Amino acid sequence: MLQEGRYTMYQGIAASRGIGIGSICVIVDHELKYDPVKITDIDAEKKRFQDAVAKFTETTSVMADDIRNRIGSKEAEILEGHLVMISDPTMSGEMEKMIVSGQCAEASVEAVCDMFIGMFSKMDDDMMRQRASDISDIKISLLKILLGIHDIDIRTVAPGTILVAKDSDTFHDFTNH
Amino acid sequence: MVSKIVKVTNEQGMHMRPASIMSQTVTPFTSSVKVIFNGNTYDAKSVMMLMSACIKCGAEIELQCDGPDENDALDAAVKLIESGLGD
Repeated sequence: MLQEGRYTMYQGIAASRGIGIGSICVIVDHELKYDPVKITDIDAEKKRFQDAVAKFTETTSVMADDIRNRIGSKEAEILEGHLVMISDPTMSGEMEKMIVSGQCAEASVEAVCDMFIGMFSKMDDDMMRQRASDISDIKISLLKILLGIHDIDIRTVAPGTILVAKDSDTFHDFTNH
Repeated sequence: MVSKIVKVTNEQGMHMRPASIMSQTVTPFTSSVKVIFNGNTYDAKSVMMLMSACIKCGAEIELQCDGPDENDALDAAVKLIESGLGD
């Protein structure tokens, strides 16, 4: 970073050729860290978890509808699968049981999802191993909701906006959607 | 308790969509509905449990129902599997 008068210059690697002048949108990679504290108010924690699941369901349904309309039904199936999985009694039901035993919502989500990720990733079937990746996506989405982390929706960024991120993988993810 | 052994005939076995259809079909019944495969028992009302069984095309599974509406539950489950699980 260079400071000259009232101007500040940041140096990085150009992902696109040429020069652009515009507003900057910084894409931040959030760490999903939390304190695995023991919960004393079980009812409040259960409500917090249930609200997070409701938010996840609502957001995922909207995204699935959008993809179905813009691209097709087949592409929307992945997100529809997420909705099926989170509503399964062995997923959300087990997460709630852990909360009742005193675990915080974040720890419960992570433990149950990691259990299923471990199970599916070891199967000798490509489609089942894909489910491990789906469950990982569900885990990340739920943790972000619980931790109050909001991702930028790249589709709402105005044309001409300059995107700034820490690594090129972030751009790859965004340009592929 | 009633049970029957059936063969899974749909090409991709018990993946997400068939497991979801199976779960939706048997959940309304009061009776418990289990799938026994490879010496393990799985709750057929849970999509996650059905998928974790890794049941492929050609596999023989035992459907086991126990409760007040066990015969209806078994009929519905057998019919579903024999029709190809919606695939």
